[in-house]
Amino acid sequence: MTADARGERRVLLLDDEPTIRESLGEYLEDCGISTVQAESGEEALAMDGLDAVAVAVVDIRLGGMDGLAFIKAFHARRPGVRFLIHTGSTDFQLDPELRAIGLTEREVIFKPVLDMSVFERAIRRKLAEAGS
Amino acid sequence: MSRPIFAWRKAGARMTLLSHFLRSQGAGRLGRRLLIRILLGIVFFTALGTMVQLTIDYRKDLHVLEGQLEQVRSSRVPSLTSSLWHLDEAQVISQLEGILDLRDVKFARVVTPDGLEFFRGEKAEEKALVIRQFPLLYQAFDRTEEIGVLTVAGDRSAVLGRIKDKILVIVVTQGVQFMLVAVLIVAIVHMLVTRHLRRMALYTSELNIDRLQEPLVLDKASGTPDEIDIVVNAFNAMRENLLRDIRQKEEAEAKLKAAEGYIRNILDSMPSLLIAVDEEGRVTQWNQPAARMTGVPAEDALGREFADVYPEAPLTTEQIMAAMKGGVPVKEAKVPRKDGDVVGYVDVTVYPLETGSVRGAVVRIDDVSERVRLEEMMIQSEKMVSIGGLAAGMAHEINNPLAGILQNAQVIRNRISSELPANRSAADAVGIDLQSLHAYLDRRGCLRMMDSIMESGQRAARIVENMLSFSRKGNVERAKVDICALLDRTVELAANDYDLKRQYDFRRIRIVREYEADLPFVPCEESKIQQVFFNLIRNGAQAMAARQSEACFVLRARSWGDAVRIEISDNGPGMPEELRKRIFEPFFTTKKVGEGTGLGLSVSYFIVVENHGGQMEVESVPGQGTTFTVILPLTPGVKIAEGGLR
Repeated sequence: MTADARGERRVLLLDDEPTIRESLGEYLEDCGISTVQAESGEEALAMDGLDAVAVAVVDIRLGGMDGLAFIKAFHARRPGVRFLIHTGSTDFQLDPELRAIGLTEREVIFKPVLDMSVFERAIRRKLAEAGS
Repeated sequence: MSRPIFAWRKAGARMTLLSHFLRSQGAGRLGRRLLIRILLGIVFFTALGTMVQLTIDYRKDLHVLEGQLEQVRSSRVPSLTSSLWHLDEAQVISQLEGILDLRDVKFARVVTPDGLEFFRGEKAEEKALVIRQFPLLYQAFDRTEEIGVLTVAGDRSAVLGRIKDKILVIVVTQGVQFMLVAVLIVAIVHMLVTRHLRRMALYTSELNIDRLQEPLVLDKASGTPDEIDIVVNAFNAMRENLLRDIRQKEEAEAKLKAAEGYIRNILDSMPSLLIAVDEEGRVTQWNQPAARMTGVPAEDALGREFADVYPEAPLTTEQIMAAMKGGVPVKEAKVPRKDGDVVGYVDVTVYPLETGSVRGAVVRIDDVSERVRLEEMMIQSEKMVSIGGLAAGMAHEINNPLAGILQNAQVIRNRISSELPANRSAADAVGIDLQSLHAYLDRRGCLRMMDSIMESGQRAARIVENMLSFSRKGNVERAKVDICALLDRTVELAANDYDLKRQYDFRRIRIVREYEADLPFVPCEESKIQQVFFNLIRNGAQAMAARQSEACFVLRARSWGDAVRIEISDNGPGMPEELRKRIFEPFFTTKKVGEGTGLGLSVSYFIVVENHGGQMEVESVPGQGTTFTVILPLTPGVKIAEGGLR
């Protein structure tokens, strides 16, 4: 029984830095987590197959629409999707709107992660939450 | 009349009393002397008066006697001549006896030229006699014939005897007279002068500062003032002046004393040691801080040689003398001063005293250890903040490539592993054996290199992370943390730390805990403070690694005003002052390259001081160990006042 059979749940990786996005994708792939990837918020929102996305890992600093705007927009469209923030901005702070969506400091992961198992664990947790 | 007499008696009685008192005091003999002189005068004048009186009386009596004898010539001679002429012997005798009846006649004698002698009376020495001779002349017709000579002798001694009888009466009369006058004089003098003099003598002899208030009052009728009144008034005026002078002097002294006390108070309240010395280098001024610093109280220090009283002074007597000679203040800043194990700093200034007649110098010594320490800390903080700012600016740019390195390296590492099914299928597809590939990569050192890439990346990431903590972040939520429990957890963590285990067996370190009971919880970012404790414990453990036995940590936590004071002491080799001063500097490390980032302690310092408003300090004695002190305020947002560690 595969994930596809149940309508596979995917993880959206949104990051304009290909090396980070792709290596994380490869790592998650190795862990058995399927990903879809986008370079910008606009691209992500226009993508096909967004219905399968259960968790989104979002970079904040992006060309064009920034990560926060994307989260808000995507949440409006798909309230069931869970978010993780992956940012290199050291002074990042959650605003009340993001907190209302359900984001806490636990959902904020600062770059660089020394061990990507952090992502694996966080994503699995989120998948479990989204599934319940 | 009875009143004056009574008063007289009263005065007399008082005089007796007073004279008695004064005699017993050995003073006031004026009355006696006056009396004695008057008595002597009386004796003299009585004697003189008596003599004069007697002489006059004697002369008068003698004159009477002579007159009597002259009378004999007229009253007796004719009848006697007649009787003799007639040779009426009986008549002659009778007549001689009649002469003898006259007063003071000693004898009467008639001698005729024929040698016939008629004698009546007593013979006596011629000296005591007044002798008169009368020729007995008979007138017969025309011729005068001397028929005999009558000799009458007056008795001088009888006159003298009578005078003698009168002497006593005269002496007594005169004596009593003079005596009465004398008594009157003495009494008057006493009334007018002596008793007042006595009173004044008594008053002045008993006079002292305390009794100066009582005026000199005489028992004296007020009327036209006499010389005594003038003296008394002058004396009382003098007394009033004296009293006023004394009061003024006392007031001036009190003012001076108050001013002196005030100035002393000011000097003693100064935080500086203020020591004045004279030209010979002797201490003339020694304030309270000087006494505290040296342990020598001011009363012991004054007058002694400066170098003798304060041998450990941060300046020599020669320096003071040189400043005195130069005439300009000499200042030396940040002079190191050893106070037990702690090294402190003092600013020393010598001000030559130029004004007035006093020559010398004032030495001012200020403990600036705290200021120097704060300056050091300030420099540290500023360095860290500037690093923090720089790091924040470039962190994003560095973190992204770092993430790329680390993430890709991790994926590569994963994909060499034979455990992943995807790896195996990919290997099969290209026709290689994963085991062989792994062995090859191992043999060629590629695995190690990949680990190296990851480790280097991780280290760079830690450095950036640490540098980022040098930024002042506000409004971070702080939980109330049990510091003692946190310390224990950190020790546990350190004991299991892989890096630390490699260098030292943590279980061999003895841990002494001195935690205050019921220590209040501290509002802080627990993970940050744990990072601080971990850094300190790791540092200590590394320092004690050289020690073969009895390595020991002492962990102390106690209340410290509105704060909690935590001390972490090790008994490692300690460090010299130069090192201690730089220990919180970013990138300052004594460890080998690769062992530390050189940021651990500066990050700790920053977390405590900048992020938590606390204080952090290190004290170290080479050869004995090092103690790190962390003070965390109990009220968030309130910075521990500067110098809170002391």
